[in-house]
Amino acid sequence: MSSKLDNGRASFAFQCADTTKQLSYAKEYKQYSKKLPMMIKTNGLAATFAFMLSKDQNKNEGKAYHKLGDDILYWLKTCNTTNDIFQNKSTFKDLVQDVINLDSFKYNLITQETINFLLWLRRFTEGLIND
Amino acid sequence: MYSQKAILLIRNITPMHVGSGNELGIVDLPIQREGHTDFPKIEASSLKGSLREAFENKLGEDNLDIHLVFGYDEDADANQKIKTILNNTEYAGAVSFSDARILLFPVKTPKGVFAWITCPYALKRFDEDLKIAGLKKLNLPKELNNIQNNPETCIVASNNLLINHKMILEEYSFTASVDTNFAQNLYNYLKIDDLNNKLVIVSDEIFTSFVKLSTEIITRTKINNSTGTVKEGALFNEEYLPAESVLYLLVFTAPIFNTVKSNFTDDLSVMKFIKDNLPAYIQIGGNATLGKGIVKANFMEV
Repeated sequence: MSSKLDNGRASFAFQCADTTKQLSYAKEYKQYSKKLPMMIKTNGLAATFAFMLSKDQNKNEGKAYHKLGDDILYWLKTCNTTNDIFQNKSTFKDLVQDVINLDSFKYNLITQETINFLLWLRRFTEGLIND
Repeated sequence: MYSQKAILLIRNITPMHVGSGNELGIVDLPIQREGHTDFPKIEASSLKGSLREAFENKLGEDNLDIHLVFGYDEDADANQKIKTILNNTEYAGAVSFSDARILLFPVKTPKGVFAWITCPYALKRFDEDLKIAGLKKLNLPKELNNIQNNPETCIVASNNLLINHKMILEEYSFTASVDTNFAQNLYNYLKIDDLNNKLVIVSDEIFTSFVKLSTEIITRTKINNSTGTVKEGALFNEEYLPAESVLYLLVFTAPIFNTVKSNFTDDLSVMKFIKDNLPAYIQIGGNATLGKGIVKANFMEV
């Protein structure tokens, strides 16, 4: 991984957008990656994650949120500043469970990191995924 | 040389949008922020324009004193008359403003509706600025470094803010220690009612996250009159510094640079002019027609 934090985010976000573009729910994935940063800012990280979890995974909508959740988890596990917190988590549900038990400082750190990652993801889905 | 100094306090009565243009971040039209802290600020150039306008509204655009103190504005009304009096137009204004810095930021709380949060960095900087302005320094609480080392804790002004010994700010909770003296001390400078019931000091990092994530976001749109639907590309969101935010700036004055001095004999008379004529309420930033950016402004007297 690159030593530069933002470059790491950017290259992983590119990878996520690139692997998602062939999938049936690519359009939803693009749409939601755009929406999520603002949702986190206005409702908080935990509420947003809970919302994502609540979506039915049998539908395209749920699949897209599920993939977004997995991508966020994978990024938080890789990223320099947060990898120690989520090392053993394997599913998005585990991540959510962990997030709601974090102390304020770490919760805040994860919030910022998630938003920063999503901002890159949003840029790349815009360019790589067609409507 | 700018030798007279003062501190001007600004308290938002309505939300304020002093914009920095388009951005690729969360909001389309974000507010201005400091490069090194990401704290909201008001750029000195934005402020100078707003303050000059406030003076012009009160004294008239063709007021000679305004041209001497703020600098010559060739677009002002009746500029020929002024131009003739001033002989030439090449001179600097005699008043100088710093960027406005954030001191208190309002955050929702379950108890007392909202709290004014600040942090060690903002307070130390304010203390330094007090020194620059030649005002009495603050008596900062001793526990400031403790919160910095332990961001799970905070200092609150009153027991009234606490629920079960915890301070709740939006979705975060903090272990609190109570310090009534400091809020009283700060009140002597700011003269903001209820400060002793609402002041909370959190760590620099927590403060940064609140000023980044807890600003107001307004979604704007434009409806096409003939179709009654949203006009294409007209959906955008704007960031606002919420009402009740408290900022301050340094004001410096120099003797008038022009050979015409009018009533201004020295830098002191320039400062007096500013202090005597500043309206109590002024408008800063964009969306004035939506009632945004109305602030209460007053010079700090300590």
